[in-house]
This record gives sequence, structure tokens and C-alpha cells, in this order.
Amino acid sequence: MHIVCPAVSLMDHQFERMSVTPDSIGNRPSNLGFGLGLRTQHYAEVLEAKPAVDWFEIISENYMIPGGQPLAILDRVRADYPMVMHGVSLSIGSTDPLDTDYLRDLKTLADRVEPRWISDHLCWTGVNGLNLHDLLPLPYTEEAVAHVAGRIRQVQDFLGRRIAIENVSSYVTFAQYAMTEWEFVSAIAEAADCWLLFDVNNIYVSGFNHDYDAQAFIEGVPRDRVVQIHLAGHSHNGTHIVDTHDAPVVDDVWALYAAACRHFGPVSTMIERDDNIPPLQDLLAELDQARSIAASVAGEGAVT
Amino acid sequence: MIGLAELQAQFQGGILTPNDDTTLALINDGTWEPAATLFGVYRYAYAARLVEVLQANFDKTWSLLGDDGFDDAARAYIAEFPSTARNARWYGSEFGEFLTSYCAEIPAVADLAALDWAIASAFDAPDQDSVAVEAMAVFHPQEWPSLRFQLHPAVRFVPVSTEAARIYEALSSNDAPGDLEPSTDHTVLVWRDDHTVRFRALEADEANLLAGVVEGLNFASLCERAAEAVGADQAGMRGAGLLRLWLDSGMIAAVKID
Repeated sequence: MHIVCPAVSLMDHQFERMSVTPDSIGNRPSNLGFGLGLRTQHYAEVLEAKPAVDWFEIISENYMIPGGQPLAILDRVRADYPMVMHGVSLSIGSTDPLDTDYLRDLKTLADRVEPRWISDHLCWTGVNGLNLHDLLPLPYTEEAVAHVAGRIRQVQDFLGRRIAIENVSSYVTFAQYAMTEWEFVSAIAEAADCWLLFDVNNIYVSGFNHDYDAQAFIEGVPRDRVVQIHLAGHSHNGTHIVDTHDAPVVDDVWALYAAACRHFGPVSTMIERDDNIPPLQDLLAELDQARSIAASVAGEGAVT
Repeated sequence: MIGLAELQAQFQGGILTPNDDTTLALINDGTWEPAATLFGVYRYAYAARLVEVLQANFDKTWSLLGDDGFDDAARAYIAEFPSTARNARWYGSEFGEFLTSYCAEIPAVADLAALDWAIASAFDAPDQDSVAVEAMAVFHPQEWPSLRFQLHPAVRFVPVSTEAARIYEALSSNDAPGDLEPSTDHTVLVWRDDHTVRFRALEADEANLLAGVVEGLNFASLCERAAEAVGADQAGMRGAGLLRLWLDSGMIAAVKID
């Protein structure tokens, strides 16, 4: 297996024990360029044609299995490309105890994949032993900040590395409300000392649904913690947007991506298509559009 | 103001119990839609997503029942068995059993679901090398009666009362499923040959011998069991023939001497 940078995980581990300030966070993973989510529909083409993708993101749970073909293909793709791992079941915001079996399986997979980083969502997926398999919203309260940040620290200690957490699309806000979503994300990232996965589409969706300014979100999070950007499509229902990740990126989201590039500078960026998977060429074309926007912004001059 | 644990319990309860609207007191009305509509996105998505999970795990059962029939069965199951699986891959472990009563009038449905589940679990079962036929040459003829065999971890046995294997193959070829009526009780064997999952209906004597392998019987005892079906004269040939077949299929992971 081609090991991209074995020192990264070791260095991450060392930094867990150091006090860092938001403006001088050491050891942030380097920019990987432009990537795609690895999907079964594209396995053959990825293995044979080795498309011009800088890196792949895998859904961790798809490979948290005992064995068989998926893991064999994973090893082959990993030999050709850098990877990051993206989970959907960590349930970091749940008030149930952390699932140690899940964490052990996640670590086993990470030992196999040697990802540049591991991410999951800033949400909860169930309580009282149940799993709704959805990314459920948290109230933006001090209690939730303390709870989630403490759990992220536990996970980071277990994995021996920082994780990245992703802002989710949401459809409701709670009557309990002490801060904006970006203040909530930022407070957790600072308290947990973790990375951020910035989903531009989710900000667009939630911004519309909750009538906030997506630009304020971009400017409201600590830029030094952003290690990855997701771009995706959605379903617009007129009065609310449902995050389906099953369609091409829309113009408004491309515009937000440009704004994110201006604010964050170059960040590992990928197209995240979860359903209605199109031919690989279509996603490569979208990825080229992301490249073009990022290059255009870089040509504008200083980061804002 | 309630704590986070209580808030999550109420929110989850509101999703699992669609007629319980007490959760709405926790939620703000949106700019363009009332709280009930916005919370409804979660309620709708919950069952819809789990139906998709079951479709993926029970592909041929879905083909047999059709979209509407499968949707009804899946939603009834989801209502009775909310997921406790961390990974959606493992949701539906009781679906086959559930269908034995839910679709009692067509037992082929539950048989097919059991076969779907077995095939899916064989697909990503643990990796382990298989013993090649040639490797058996290391054993002396006098050692053979004492040999015991360990099956590959991908091997599965599915007890059925209908022609589930034939129905599965027909649906895989987009053909009509054909006769769904009960047939003789028998076992469908599922195994993995390299990365390809295969299956076939077993004759009773082969199923008996494989059960003996699972029990840990040695080769001499397996041949004694074979004699019950084919007579003492043919028992050795039958035992050796089946062993050869299992080895060729990659079903034997280890051979040990007493």
C-alpha cells in the first residue's frame, strides 16, 4: 500500500496533548486538492482508468464489515489514491454512551486505510439504544456545546488523532436557542480542538430553511480549523430545501463555494453525491468546475 | 427548560410516533412553514430511509413483492423493529422471521428474505484462505478417517420450504418467479468462491453430511452418515466425492487430524 504521509497520524497524536490557540493550530493536514466520494457504481472505472481525482473519500460504515470484495477493492483504490474517512454513525451529539464497539471498528478500518483524516457529522442519530440512521439536529445551547465537545475529545483520545466534524443540513430550530449555528460549530471546535468539514451545500440548505445569511456562517467559523469542503446538490421544495445529495451542485452553492474559497483559502474540496449516482464523467466535470472556481478566486489576490 | 437527554428522547419519540405532536412544543415555526411541516421532513425521511436500507439488503424479496407490497411489509417491520444497529448494513436481521407471519400465505417470501440475508452476509463475511484439493495430498490414507474439516466463514445454510433457490435465480434473470407453492423442506447452501457468492439447493444427504462437518465429525463418521443414504458400499465414494466438491468450491477453510 502506498503510504502518503505516515508521520501525520503520529503528529496529530502528539498535538492532542498540546494546548493550541485557534490562530496558530499546528499540523493541519495539507490541502489534498480535489476529490470525490468513492461509490460502488464507479469501482471498475476507478480501478481501470485511474481518473484524474486527487483523492477519495469513503463512507466509513461501508467498509466496517468483516471482509469480502468491498475491502479488497478498497485496498486497491487506496494503493492509487490518498483517502479520507467519512462516517455517518458516530452520533457524537447523542446523550447515549459512546459506542465503544463502533469506535474500535472505526479504528481498525483507519489502521487499514491510513486516512489523512476521519470525519463525521455534528448531529445525533438516536438515543435509548435506537438508531434512526438520520443526522438529527442539536439545540444550540451551552449544555450541548459542553456535551459534544467532551465526546469529541473522548473520540480523539481513543483514535489518537483529531477528527473533523461537519455541519449538517437541518429543517427545524429548537425553542432552546443560545447562539447561532456558526457560533455553536465554532464553540465546539474550539472546546474540542477538532477540525471542521465545511459542507457548503448544507449551509445553503440550512440558511434558506432558517433564514440566515450563509456568508455570515462562512465568516463565523475559525478558518484555521477547516480541513475539507463538501459540495453537493439538494431538492428545493419552494418553502424549504431538503438535503438529498442526489443532484448536481446548483449555481447558488457554487457562488457560496467561491465565497468560502475567498475566506478559507485553498482547502481540500470534493463533490459528495450520495444518491442518483451519475456517470463518473459527470462528477469529474463538476470537480473541474470546483477547480476552476478555486483557481479563479486564487487569482483574485489575497484571502479575505 | 429540559435537558439535552430529555429533548432528544422527545424528538426521537415524535419521529417514531407520528401521531404524537408533543415534540412540536420544542421546535420553532419556520419563516415559511409551521413547525409541524418542518418536523414532518424528519418523520418522512426516517421510514423512507429504512425502506431503502431493507431494499438494499433484501433485493430479491423486493423484486418478488413489488414496490408497493415490499413498501407495506417494510414499513410494518420498521414500526415493530426500530433499528438498534449502529451500521445500517445490519438492519433487517429479523425481517425474514417477521415475514413468516406477515406473509404467511406465501411462504416463499420469507424463504427468499432468508436467502437474501444469507447471500448479503456471505458477501462481506470474514476473509480466510480455503484449502485446495492438492493440499490434501499431504495426508496419508490411514489418516483420512481421522480428518476433521472447518467450513469457510462465508458458508451459510438456509432452511426453506419452497423452491427459494430457483425463484431467486429466476428473479435475478428478470424472469417470472414461477411456482411459489411449498415444496419439500430442504436446505439452500450459500458460499463464497473468491469474491463471488454462490448458492444451490442441497440434497438431503449432502445437507446431513455438512451438518456433520459443523458438528465436528471426522471423515469416518461422515462416511457412516453417508451410508444411511447410499448404503455402506457407496458411502466412501459419496463422502469423498462431496469432500472434493466442497474443496473445489472453496468451502473448506481448514483440515485437522484428531
